[in-house]
Amino acid sequence: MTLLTAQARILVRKEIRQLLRSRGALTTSLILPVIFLVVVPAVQYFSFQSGGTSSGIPGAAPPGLAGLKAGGVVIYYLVPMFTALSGVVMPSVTSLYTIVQERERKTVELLVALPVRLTDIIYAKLAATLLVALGVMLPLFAIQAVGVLVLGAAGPAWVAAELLLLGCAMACSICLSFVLALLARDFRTSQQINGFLIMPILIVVNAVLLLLPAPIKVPVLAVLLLVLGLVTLAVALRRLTFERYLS
Amino acid sequence: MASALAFAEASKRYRNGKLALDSVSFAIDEGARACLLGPNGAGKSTAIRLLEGALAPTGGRVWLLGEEVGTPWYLEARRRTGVVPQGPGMYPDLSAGEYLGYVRRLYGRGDLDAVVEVFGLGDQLRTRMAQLSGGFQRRLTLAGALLGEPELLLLDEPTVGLDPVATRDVHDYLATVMRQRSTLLCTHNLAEAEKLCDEVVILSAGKVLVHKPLAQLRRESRPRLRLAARQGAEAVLAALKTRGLTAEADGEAVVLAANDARAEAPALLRALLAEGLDVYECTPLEASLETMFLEAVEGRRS
Repeated sequence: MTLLTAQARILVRKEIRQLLRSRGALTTSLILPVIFLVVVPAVQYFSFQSGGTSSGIPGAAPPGLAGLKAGGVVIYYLVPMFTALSGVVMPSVTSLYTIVQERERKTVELLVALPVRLTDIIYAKLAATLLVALGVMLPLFAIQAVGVLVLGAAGPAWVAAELLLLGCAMACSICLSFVLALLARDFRTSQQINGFLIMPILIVVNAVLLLLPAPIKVPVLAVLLLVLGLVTLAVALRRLTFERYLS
Repeated sequence: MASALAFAEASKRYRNGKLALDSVSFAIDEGARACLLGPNGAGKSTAIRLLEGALAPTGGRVWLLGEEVGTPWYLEARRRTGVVPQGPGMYPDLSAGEYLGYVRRLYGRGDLDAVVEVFGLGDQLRTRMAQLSGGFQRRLTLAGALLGEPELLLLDEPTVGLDPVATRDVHDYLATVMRQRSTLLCTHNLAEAEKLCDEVVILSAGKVLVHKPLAQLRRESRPRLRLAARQGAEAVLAALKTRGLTAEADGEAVVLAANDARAEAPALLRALLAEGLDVYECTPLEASLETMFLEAVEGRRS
């Protein structure tokens, strides 16, 4: 929060209050992470366990899955994939409510009329999105991590790598949200742009998890997502201006 | 006298290539109440956006209360400026009271109770902003603009979209609050500008056409004489034509330009009566802002 100006910090409080009152934003920000971080991994893990599949993947497995037993596939492929997915998707979808709706409803005119900079307005929205995302995701991640550790499915190193992945995925998502803020004029367009930005990332996530060996793939994926986000942000800052948010 | 706001060769070209302001230079003195007029696309809203700091000029410089827009000290000048935006949206998830609370925190000062009382918002503080009537929504934006006890007011079409009763209420509020403050009123409503302002800036196609005190503009505007006769406008027009005078029909009457309407009226009236025209109206007209505005803009176009 100290990275933000005093004006932006006041606006962050406003944004969080509004996010917590928005049924659409809350539903989106709760349902997706609950499904991706808790429900799907648990269902997958227990279905593999109850199926008694203790052998490896039959046939020619991709390098990232080679030598993994059924439980390993869940821990080293499915869970990281859903962690990355929730980290990338949830903040950027939530930002549609804070950033795009403000523009669509023309309430941004009220903000511009106040003694704040346009950068304060946009940074406050991104910060609020990140804080709400952290508030939702970290407890859910803790549930997931405790479950994995209690079941003995993986050790603390895996939990640390997963936490790194979640953090980097969220950072990537915030960078995408920034681009979205400057590009999208309405909710519908923003959803289309969001999909356009997220699809290549999902392909990268799957490619890394399927092609790299288990010990390194999660940290590599985390760094790659962070770099992707930062590159997108750098390109956006070179080609787009904050004034676009008002046009 | 110090300037409340100033533009020096300020230009704004948007990324789509449109030149909204073209080397505009004008200043409004502290304490002056100026209106910014112009046809659609003249650059009025862009000028307001530059003063707000929401847009950066692509050329020239802009000052607000002595601080140049874009400098670190500009934000302090913004805290001394109240802005009423043009037809803003209203939050469906914030109450009027919560909004004013944030406004006060952003300005770092302000007597909320006093502003609420002045604008009669006491019963509306718990109402969600989007659920307020149009009149109360406008009162809320005015209250927000005045909460920080600003020295300068920037008003962008403050009554657009309001019904006549709400418009009158807003005019009454503005007339009161503008008395102690420098003001720039951007409007299409010429009657509103005439009622509230004493200085005029007319923009057209991104350039300043006119910047004068309203009284001076009136003095310089060509006087007019309004004539009406029982025989109708056509008969009066024909009689004037025989004297080499051209006039325009205005309903039942005709209006003609004169060098000195009061001096020329008696002789003209005697002549028309002598010709048998039953003239029942002969009135020197003071130039309205609408007339002066149209003269300026149409003169530019021609």
